[in-house]
Amino acid sequence: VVIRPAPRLARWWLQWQLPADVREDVVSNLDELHLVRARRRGQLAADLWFVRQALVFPLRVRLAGDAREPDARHQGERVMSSVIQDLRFAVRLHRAHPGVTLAALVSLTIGIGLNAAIFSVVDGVLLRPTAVANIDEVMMVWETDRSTGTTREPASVPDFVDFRRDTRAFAALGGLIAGEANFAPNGDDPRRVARLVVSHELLPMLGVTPLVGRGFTAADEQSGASLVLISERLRQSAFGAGTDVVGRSIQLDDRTSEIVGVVADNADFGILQVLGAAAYGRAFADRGTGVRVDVWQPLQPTASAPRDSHPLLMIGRLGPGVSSSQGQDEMTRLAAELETRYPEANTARGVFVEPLASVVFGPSRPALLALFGAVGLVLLVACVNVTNLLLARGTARSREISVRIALGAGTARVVRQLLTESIALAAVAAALGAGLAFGAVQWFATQGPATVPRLADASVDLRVLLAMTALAVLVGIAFGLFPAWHALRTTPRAGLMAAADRTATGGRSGRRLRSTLVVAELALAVVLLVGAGLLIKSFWRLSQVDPGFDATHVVKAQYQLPTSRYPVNFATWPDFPEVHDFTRRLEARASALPGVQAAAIASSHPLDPGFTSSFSIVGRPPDAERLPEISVRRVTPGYFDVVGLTLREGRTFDGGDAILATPVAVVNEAAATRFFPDRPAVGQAIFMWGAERRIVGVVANERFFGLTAAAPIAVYYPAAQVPGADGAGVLLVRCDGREAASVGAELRRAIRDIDPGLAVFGIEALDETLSQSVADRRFTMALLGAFALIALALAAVGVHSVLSYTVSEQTREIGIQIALGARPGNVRRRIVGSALVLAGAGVVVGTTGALGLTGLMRALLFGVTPTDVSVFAAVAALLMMIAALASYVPARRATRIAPTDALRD
Amino acid sequence: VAREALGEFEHQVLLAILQLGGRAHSAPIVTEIEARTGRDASPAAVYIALRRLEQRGLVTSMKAEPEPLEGGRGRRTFVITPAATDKLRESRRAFEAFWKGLDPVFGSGPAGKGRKR
Repeated sequence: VVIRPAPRLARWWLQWQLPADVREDVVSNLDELHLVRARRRGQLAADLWFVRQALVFPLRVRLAGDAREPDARHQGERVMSSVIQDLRFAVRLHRAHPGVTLAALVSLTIGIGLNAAIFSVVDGVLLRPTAVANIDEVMMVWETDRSTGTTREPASVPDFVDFRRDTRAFAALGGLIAGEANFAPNGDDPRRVARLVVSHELLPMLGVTPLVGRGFTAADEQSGASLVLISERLRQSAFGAGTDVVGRSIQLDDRTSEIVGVVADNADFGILQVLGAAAYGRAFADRGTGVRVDVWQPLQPTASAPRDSHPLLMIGRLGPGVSSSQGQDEMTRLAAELETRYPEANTARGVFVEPLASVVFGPSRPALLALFGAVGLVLLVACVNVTNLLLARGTARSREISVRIALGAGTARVVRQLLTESIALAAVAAALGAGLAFGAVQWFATQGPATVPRLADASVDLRVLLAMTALAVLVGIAFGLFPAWHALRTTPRAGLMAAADRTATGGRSGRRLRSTLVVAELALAVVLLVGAGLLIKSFWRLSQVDPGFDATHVVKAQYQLPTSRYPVNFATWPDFPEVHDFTRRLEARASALPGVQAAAIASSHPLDPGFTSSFSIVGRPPDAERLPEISVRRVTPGYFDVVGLTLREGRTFDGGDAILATPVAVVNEAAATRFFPDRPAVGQAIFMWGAERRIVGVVANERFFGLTAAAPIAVYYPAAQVPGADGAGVLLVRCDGREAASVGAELRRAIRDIDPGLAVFGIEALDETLSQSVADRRFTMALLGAFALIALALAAVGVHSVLSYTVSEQTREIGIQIALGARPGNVRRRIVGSALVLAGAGVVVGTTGALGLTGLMRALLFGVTPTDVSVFAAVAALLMMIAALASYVPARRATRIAPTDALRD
Repeated sequence: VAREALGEFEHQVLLAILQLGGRAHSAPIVTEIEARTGRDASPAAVYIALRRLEQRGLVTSMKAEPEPLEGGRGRRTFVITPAATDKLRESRRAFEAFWKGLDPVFGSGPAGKGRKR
């Protein structure tokens, strides 16, 4: 039989605990004894023995060693043995009252576990240092448009080149353009990869160093060579982990690119949040489902890049000692110079500088902090509840303590015993809570909203576990001291008398104390319920918002046409024969699919912000009024039917609106009422992209920017008349309500049949897209709701236990009343009434607290004020109801008291 | 040095060292006590007793060079002092004085648990 060495953890603990001068000696002797024992009694017995020695040995040695005087040494041993005695007693006690112990344990486990979980998430997302060195020096540099009032726009490539050359305030200014690419590894089915085209400054600025190979250099921007950095994830899926890929090449959109390096999977830190904050040009429209960037390519600015197209996001690092406002000032000055030099494209363009960290973390911060606050309250409720339960352990306990004191136990001794009990309970709860926290964080990382940065990296770490242990000890002290203090306040005599007499004369102050605790629990529950209620109402309000389209039974599938096979030649624009041919064939094919009622192709789906463009109104002097930019949607004629967009005036498009026919446009109501308030919009014309485009219809407003944003002004053009240069396309079909997945598979096949080299992505029911767009709100609501329900349940347990206590305390009194002819109904009403008094007090205190706190969650609310009366009223009513329900069992028990029993006792 | 009498456990520890040849590491002492009493002995108790005995000058100890074995690193060896053998002899004499004449009651031999001749 092979004997394994002593358990490593115990050994490690032992070494850590022992003073250095005896460490080696003790450990090697214990090792030898372990070996002897293992031979004689088996491995398990020996291991257990060793663990016990590891725990006991250092304690005993320390106690013996500290004591020079033999007496003091005995004192030490006495303390130790009495602690063990207390622990034994605590275990016995908890075993004797399994119900109370279980309830306390569950309360504490939930309280501690949830705190550890949420703290781990807050820590992982908000607190831990990022890979970006000195992230407070890194700034997002947006362009602004004074005519529309938008502050977070991407820049044009020439603007970026100029800013980068002229800035002194920024030590480095980088740019990025996000987009999709088709990628077909080794002849497999093509798939979509998210791509960032970046200037050479960007990756070093964001703290990204390639795992293997090299990053991009300034020379790469000039060389024109097609280079690519890939993510570790892509390397694993396309080549196999650990493969040496540097120097090999991959096909992206028919173009061969040479791999120069591999970067970590989280190299796209913050990019999704930056894209989400941009006013337009938000690539990866399915960001909400957790898109990760897999390929990076060098930005290679050409002289011909247009100054009026804005695809590029700028991120800069301020020079040493330069403040963000100095950076802002310099950029404003540079923007003003560009404005004078290029009035055509840059009129009204400014710059807005803000910290990258606030763009990345800002949107998640309020929700996370609200949840953190909420679990803190849940823990408080749990502690109060446990205190209450321990107090409720009844007369047995106070009798025991009185006896102890009467027999000469010192105050310190009694307090220590009570603390040992409560800390033991808290320690077990902390251990269970750690399990809960691990599970919960796992769940967060996989199920949480993808909009939260680095959520997947959140984990329960040693720091959190230590903090949690400290928390458990504090909690243990908190709820252990309270009963101790309470027990010590009663004189032994009163306690003994109370113990002898079951009608507990000493119970009145106890009841008052416990009532106060219950009110505190109820008040905390009110605060949480109000918070949850406000979020629920916000969400309900959100669900009432008319998105402008009808998403039911609509399925979408996205693709990206590579310019290699679908050339973009502006000399012949709008006649891009390959693009138009593809669109026509796909639409025809999709319409013919069984179960498909209508099909359409658009540049972006209804929840994709798409892009905006400047325009002018025909017949008005161009300078009389700087017009804001308008959202541009390119659609095939079927679009309006497919997404159920209501026609308000005129007509939508038809087959006659062909490539070279008279240019036409449809505007939405927001645009019509804004620009043509006093006359019909139909019949007017707008000028854009070199042509006058006649308005033939007005449709309802679609909310491209999500349900919480106001509907933007928009213009729809026939896809045939204004093909895009970016190749992005979405196929939308309205079908007969079959599973989105099966329809999606057919859509994929339809696209592949026409062009087998295209990756099809974002296959999803539009319903799902809509629901996904509010996923983070739903997540916060669900969690806060769950926390509030937990608090409510704990508070209900509190009400129930304090009333049960009251009833058992008043058994004789109630028995006499019933014997004297009191009606059971009256007795019951009195008990339910006292529950309502408690609840009423809880509502008053809780409402006051909630009024002070809900203002902090303003950022999370939609269509609801933090002091919404209906929410507060509903919470009050709910709490009253739950309190009444919780008092029902004790009330019924009270009326079942047989007078004879009550009097006999 | 205190003129305190030996406690029962200290007695056992000292005798165990003598059984092991007058010098021993602490682990064999524990094993020896367990073998002779038939009960588990606590290594911590043995360790503390050895330390006390050392303070009283009844054992001395030295830290050995690391043994050339796996895991056999600087262990402390405890050695009985002449003072201890005196003390043991003295206490044995004292006990035997008390035992004298009790053989008919208990049978001969020290406190055998009903051991037959």
